[in-house]
Amino acid sequence: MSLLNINELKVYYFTKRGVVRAVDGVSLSISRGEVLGLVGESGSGKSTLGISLLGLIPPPGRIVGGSIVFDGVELTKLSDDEFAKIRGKRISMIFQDPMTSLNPLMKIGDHLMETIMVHENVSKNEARERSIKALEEVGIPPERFNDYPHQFSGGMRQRVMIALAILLNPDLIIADEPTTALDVIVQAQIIDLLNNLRKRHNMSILLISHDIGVVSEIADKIAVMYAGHLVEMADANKILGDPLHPYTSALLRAVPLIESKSEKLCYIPGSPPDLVKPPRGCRFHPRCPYAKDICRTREPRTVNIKDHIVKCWMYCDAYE
Amino acid sequence: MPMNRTIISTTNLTKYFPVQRGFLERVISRKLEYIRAVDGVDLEIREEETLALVGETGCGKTTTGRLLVRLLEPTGGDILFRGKRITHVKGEELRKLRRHLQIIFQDPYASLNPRMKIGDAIGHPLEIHDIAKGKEKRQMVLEMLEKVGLTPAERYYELYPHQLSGGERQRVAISRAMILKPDFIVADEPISMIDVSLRAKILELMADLKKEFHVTYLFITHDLATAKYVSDRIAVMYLGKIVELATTDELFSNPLHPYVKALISAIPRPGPKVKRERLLLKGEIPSPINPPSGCRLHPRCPFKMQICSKEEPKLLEKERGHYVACHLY
Amino acid sequence: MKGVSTSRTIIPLLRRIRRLDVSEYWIAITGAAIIVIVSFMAILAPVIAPYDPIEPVGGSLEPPNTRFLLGTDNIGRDILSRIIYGSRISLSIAFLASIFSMIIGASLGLLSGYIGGVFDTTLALIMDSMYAFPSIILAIAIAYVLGPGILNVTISIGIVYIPVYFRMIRSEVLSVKESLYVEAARAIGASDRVILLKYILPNVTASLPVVFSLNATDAILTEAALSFLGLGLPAPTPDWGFDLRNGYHFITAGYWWTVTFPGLMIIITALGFSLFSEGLNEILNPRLREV
Repeated sequence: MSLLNINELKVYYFTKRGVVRAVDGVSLSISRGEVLGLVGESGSGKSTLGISLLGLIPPPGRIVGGSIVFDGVELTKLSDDEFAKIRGKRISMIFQDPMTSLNPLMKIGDHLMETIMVHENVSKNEARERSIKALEEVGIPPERFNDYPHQFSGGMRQRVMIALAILLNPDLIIADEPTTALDVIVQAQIIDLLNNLRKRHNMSILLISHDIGVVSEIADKIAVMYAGHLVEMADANKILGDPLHPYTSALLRAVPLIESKSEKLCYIPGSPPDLVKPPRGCRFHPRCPYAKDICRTREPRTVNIKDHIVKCWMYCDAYE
Repeated sequence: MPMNRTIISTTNLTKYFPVQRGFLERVISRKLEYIRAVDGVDLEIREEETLALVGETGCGKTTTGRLLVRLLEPTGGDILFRGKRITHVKGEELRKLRRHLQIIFQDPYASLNPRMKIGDAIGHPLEIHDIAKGKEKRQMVLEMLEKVGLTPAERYYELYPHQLSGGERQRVAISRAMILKPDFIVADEPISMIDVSLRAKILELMADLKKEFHVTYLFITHDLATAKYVSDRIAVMYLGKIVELATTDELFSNPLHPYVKALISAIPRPGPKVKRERLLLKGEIPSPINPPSGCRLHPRCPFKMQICSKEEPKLLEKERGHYVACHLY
Repeated sequence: MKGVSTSRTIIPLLRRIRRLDVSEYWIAITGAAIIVIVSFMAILAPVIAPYDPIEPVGGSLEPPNTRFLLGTDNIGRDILSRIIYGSRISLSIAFLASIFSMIIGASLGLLSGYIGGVFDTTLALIMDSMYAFPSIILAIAIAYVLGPGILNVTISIGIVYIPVYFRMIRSEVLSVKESLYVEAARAIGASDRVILLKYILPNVTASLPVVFSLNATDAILTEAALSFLGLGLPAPTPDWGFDLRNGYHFITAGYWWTVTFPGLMIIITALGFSLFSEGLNEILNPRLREV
């Protein structure tokens, strides 16, 4: 049963240089308690997709088409006030940089309490108790309740962010590169923490990252984006073991692995496309080793092969 | 080619940075505090090898890199380049030394002068060291541009950094470092700000140029997987000290130091999900201002013993070519 | 202007201008138009002025009429001609003083910011003290010491604005000094002199054009003020500030044209520079726009 259903979402930025088609017809869904890893490089549109779920797209961008249905509610039609009720309470977000995402002038305890009291009508004491519990859940001792953000290290700050995110028991957490700014060992701690939390609270997570390794540690499903399009989506094991789309396989070959027996690391020739004037047809075709004529002229259809979604002409039965 | 000759060596290399304090603090308290960024590092880098220097935040790897190319002056210890002491050289002698020691920075966006044409930026070292001027300089720059794949070279010569992508800018930085055919290059996280799909291209370029110009690399990175891919030997640093040093194969097949084992197990692995046992350290890296006594890892180490909080372990050769600083051994 | 060469500033500027629309540049264009008109007035003065500005050519204090479009002053000189010739004085002093300030202030700021240490602290202290003085008072003091004359007025106005450039360039140098590309320049073996000239200077001159025209605005007003106070150019040089003062005596008797027209010229010219600098700032450092 789908908690979140995105259908043909289009988000464009109207800049002076032209229209940037950041998200150009993306459909995906997340079930309750499921972790979807959204993978892509710079310019893929993954971050824009994340913030559009919270109605936080900065001008000059906006949603120009498609729908986002969250637990039966059409998010694209909500007013800002209505959205404010959902933000933080039912859908919450963890950002990349814990250094700048917390108010430096606010004790973290106060920050947590205020978050609760804005959304729910509870007494200060109850808010305080719940806040302390949330901090304990993410591994922060209660003595630090009255500390300021600058008194925490990067990893601890990210834990505070996570505490804020789970505070009101949301159904969905959007984590946008939550570990990119952290050291490897701390990164592992945070990923494990997220995994435990989602199991305990049956939360869904949309984990956005350029690092397919990080994503594969806890994702049930993985979706790959390229230049505003969703090019492949399937069970994590299937994508990692048997990727269908040329971009996905190329991406997997570009990541150095500890276990590999010195396989040659590959790169993808060319460079990420200009989203103002993307290539005609399939946006990946200039860099694809299998590109055919049809790839250069017509945008591929998205096909579903036993729950393995891929947007590539190689898998369309009939080319017409 | 004499492969075993040492090109750069350090003895007890140390760099402390005084902690910035406000005016009032300075007046009131006499005690000065130092960030012990690099705290007694012994290294021997062999000719034409790629030595990876691996570690997390605050381990001192970046500072070490800058010390080796003398962008910083050591607080203590010695640096020898081809047997000659370069620890405190200054002025003209230091400038001449720069011909042989170069550095590639992490950020391709910030390491290029926004007001300088690409061709001028790459050719500038030639002018500075009186190697070539005018037409001859231009010719050498064009050849370099061809070598790194920025073609048509004539077109790229005239462009400014903001007109290039991140990967292209990094190739410009590499050209600038290589054009003097230096003996030794410090590469400070050269690919961490490049898109994943383009990193291998930069690494391949660096490897090709290494073969052609017979350069020695110190490859600084926080990513063990990348270190495994590019290096002959790996040195792992923690809080200003080297904790383990071995050949790449040896380090991964037989890691000794608990920190190294934790690093290896923490690396996220893309691949069908396998249940793995992770060796995780508790807590986080402490501040380099007041490092823990004895072995710096002891507050977080699962194998901690009595002696660990009292005595600092020395970096000793446990097996041939495999050094580790840990009381377990 | 220092450090500005065609390929580095003008071409990116032209590229930016091509992509503009009217709402963005009308301010700069209006300002530029005013400056251009007044400049032509100054250059073509001998051609377009109807009379000699220094000789009495009409009756005393004649109101605006067909012979003297803006009337005459108490000595019988044609006000229109005086105004046209006055533009020469005002513009040349404004430009020269601003260039003088810029060259000295920017160079000192560059050196001070780069060298640092006691030299920098001392110089910054001196400059800050100068900056703290109300500019008029400082100009008056210096003009008093130096005495009248075009060169002296230029110098006294110029000195007053040195701290402005100094502070601006110095703060930019302090931040550019720490940037990675400067460290990279050091790494390839560049000497301090080369770093200063090729890596730091071209990257701190971005705001110079805007400050320059802001300064010109101020210079015009200060020059007029100095002349008004009798510390500027000697009579009978045609000068707006001087005429303003001269006409001041007669305004109570109803001879409004002696004051109004010189005053208007000062306002319009200063406004021209002010609009231009504001508009230029909008073009070079555009604010984020919502669509």
